[in-house]
Amino acid sequence: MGTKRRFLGPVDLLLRLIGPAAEPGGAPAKTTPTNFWWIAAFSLHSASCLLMIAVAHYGGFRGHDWASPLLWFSLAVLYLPLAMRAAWPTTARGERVALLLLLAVATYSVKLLYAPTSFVHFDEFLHWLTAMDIAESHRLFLENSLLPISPLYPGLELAATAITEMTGLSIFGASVILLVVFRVLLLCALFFFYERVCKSPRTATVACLVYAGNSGFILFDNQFAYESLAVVLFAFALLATALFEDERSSKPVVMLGLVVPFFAALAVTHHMSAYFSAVFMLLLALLGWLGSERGTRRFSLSFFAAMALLLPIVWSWVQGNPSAGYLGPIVEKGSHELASFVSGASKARKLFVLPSGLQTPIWLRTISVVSLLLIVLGLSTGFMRSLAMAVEGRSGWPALLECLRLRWKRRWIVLLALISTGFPISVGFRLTSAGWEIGNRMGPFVFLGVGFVVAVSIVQFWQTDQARWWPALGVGIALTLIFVGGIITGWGVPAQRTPYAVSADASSVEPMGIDAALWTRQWLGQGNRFASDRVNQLLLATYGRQDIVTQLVEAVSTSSIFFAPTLPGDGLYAIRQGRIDYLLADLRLTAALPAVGHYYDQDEFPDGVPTPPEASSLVKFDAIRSVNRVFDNGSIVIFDVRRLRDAR
Amino acid sequence: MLGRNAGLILACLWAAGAVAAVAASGSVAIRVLACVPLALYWPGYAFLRAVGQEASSVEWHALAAMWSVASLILGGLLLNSVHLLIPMGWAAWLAAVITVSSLVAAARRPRDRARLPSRHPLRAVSLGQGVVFAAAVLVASAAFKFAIWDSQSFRQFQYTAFWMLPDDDMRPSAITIGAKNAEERPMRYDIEVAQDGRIVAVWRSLALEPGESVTKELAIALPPHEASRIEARLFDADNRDRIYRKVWIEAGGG
Repeated sequence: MGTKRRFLGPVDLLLRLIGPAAEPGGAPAKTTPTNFWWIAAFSLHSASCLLMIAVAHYGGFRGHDWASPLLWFSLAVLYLPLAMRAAWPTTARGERVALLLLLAVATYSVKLLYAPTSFVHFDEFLHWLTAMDIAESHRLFLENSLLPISPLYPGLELAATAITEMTGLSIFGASVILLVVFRVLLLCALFFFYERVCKSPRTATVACLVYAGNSGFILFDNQFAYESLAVVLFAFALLATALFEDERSSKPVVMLGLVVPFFAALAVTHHMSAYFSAVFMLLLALLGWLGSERGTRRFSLSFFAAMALLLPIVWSWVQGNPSAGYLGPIVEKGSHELASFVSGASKARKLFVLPSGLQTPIWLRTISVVSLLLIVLGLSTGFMRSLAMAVEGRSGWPALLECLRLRWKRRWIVLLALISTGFPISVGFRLTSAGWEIGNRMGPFVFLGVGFVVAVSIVQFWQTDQARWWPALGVGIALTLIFVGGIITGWGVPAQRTPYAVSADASSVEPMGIDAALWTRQWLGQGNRFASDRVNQLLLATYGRQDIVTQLVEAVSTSSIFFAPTLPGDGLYAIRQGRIDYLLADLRLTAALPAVGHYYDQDEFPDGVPTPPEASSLVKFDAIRSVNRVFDNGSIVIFDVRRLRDAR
Repeated sequence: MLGRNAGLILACLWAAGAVAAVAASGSVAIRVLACVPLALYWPGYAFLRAVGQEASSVEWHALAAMWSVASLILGGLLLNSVHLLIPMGWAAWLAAVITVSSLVAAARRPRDRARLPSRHPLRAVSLGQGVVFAAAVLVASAAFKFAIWDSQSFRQFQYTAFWMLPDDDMRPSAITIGAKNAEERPMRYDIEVAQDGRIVAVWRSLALEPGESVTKELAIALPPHEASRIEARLFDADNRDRIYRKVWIEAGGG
């Protein structure tokens, strides 16, 4: 008997850990009234943390060692007490909402403090260019040589130019207004969606707090790029669909007028998000047909799924199917790499090390890994509990068995649990070189499920309804680690402002390069065909309003122009083939390896090992009589190659 | 009747005011105050009233805001098709959405009308709490003020930009030579211009404060049928021993 007990002990423990709760938890028995003192205190606390972050960036610009620890400490301290209070069992619903909104504003402020006066992030330049084209020409669908697909999905740029046109604000000013509104609306939509799904404000709050730990939350979905809007539209499409399921709102006019515009706007805003939403809605419709529900609901869900699928397909078709050419190679290459990684045929990409050799400090790596493990723990202990919640009238193992027999009543919960299983896949993609982008894009969508399942685990197992400090502190620290870990995974060491770094996107954007780009606009005029490196391409296209010759659009390898020690050969061919007017050579590139892995074009190094260009290669044009050296600021030199290009 | 429709009347008045601001006001502040709610709130407000959608307070307002964004995007596509992506086109579109939705909402039978969201109990905020909120706003403003100052004042690279451009690419009758001081101190520059190795112009001790620039025009006589190399050299007047910047153009002979 004793032996049996010892044998059963660990199994019992395991089942207790991962098995469904005997009595579903959720809403606490009694909540306290909304306490405005807490909200006011956390507002002041958050503002103080923002001040510390601003100081950290000040130190980071100047290369001080204390800057990085201060930044990460401030981020953790910003989130921890706020999360603890919001997740506290007896906190009032209104107070939870207020704290989430405070978190929304604070997290957007964190991103804005990095660059409070202008765009600096790579993707922001791509969409800024599209927005400028719309604002200047008053037309859509003009060519964007930096990201050809961007003008074909102009949702974000339309919203921004509407504001700029009517108010006279700059596009950056309009983007600040829009992004802070989007961030607030995203957390609103998520909270109300989760709350409608599980009927528990506390679970909904914790789910939002976990969602904030996805790798795109602070930077990628917080910048002036189409996914930042698409994620919000997606969240509202889900909320509106859930709202429609409410008996009181089930009018056809609401269905058409409220839900469909979100799907339509999503279809013209971002390709990948629209397809993700189609998958969500198709799964939801499928669960409706498989489950025990009957009636018109199943048909209406099928209608929404059809809309979610057809609208992006139709839009893509109208635009000449650009998303297949853009997404196809990424998905194909990423899936292939993931398959070879899983089968052991290839190794994972080097984690925590930039191509320039810059390594993530060990303590940040540790937090990142711990956050991953905490999510896995949350998923393990929340998955079956979530599934059991989908069945009404039963709890524990019987509920789980009913769910496995497809007799669920709450299909949204089943959907969220299923979506959470995409988390290991997204992590798998992140381990590959070609597929990391897919993993990165999956994050915000997969975390809809991850947030819910981990929240169920916390509310039903790790920190139940009893208001005690130790579990609250433990859960608060775990949530904080997930939040900070998400920033490390998504943004990493570059989250800290640093002095200029070579080919490092935001860290390479500084006044000297901007002045050179502005000079081209003032003295050469707009629309000259330029070849340059990755970062100066952005500056020339936006500040300079020049046409950039890229491998992406023109299939011209501009790297050969700059890397070759002498010009005749591929370089001259590229100048003629690309009908290039001017070259901008940045001598700072010779000083270090590129942080993003390349200087000019992707795949510019045949062996895959980056090597800085020789200074003599960059100024080899000095020796060519028909090339004019028209601008020099000591680091950046502009050559006029029109005579050379036209000479035969 | 008026009380029930007060929100709709306000929405329509706001739309009219915003259209007027776009048409007549040159003040960015006034246009921001008028047009941001026009773009990001009132269309959704009027639409939700029109369809009789009910929801809890914050959820209702959030839906109104996001529906407004969706209508902005879809309206933009429509405006593009009729070549009206201009300030007044946007304002007119949004005003039309608000007006039509408001009329539909006002025409609804009372029992079909949406239950409006209850007012948020912000009035429960005490004076002390208000002071703490104000302090939070002040501290956050200080953080942004500091960050803006830092990003605008920090210049890692100090440099001098030097350039030369012809008025005509092939046969210039004049060239423009320019220099900009982006060093951290006032500078004095000397500029020499040589044509095929022969000095043709010199400017001495051009004093520039940080941020200042100077341009000089120079008439050029090109030999017929021959290419000529015009080279400009910039010297730091305090260190004449080495050429600080050098630019050139090849002209003529084409």
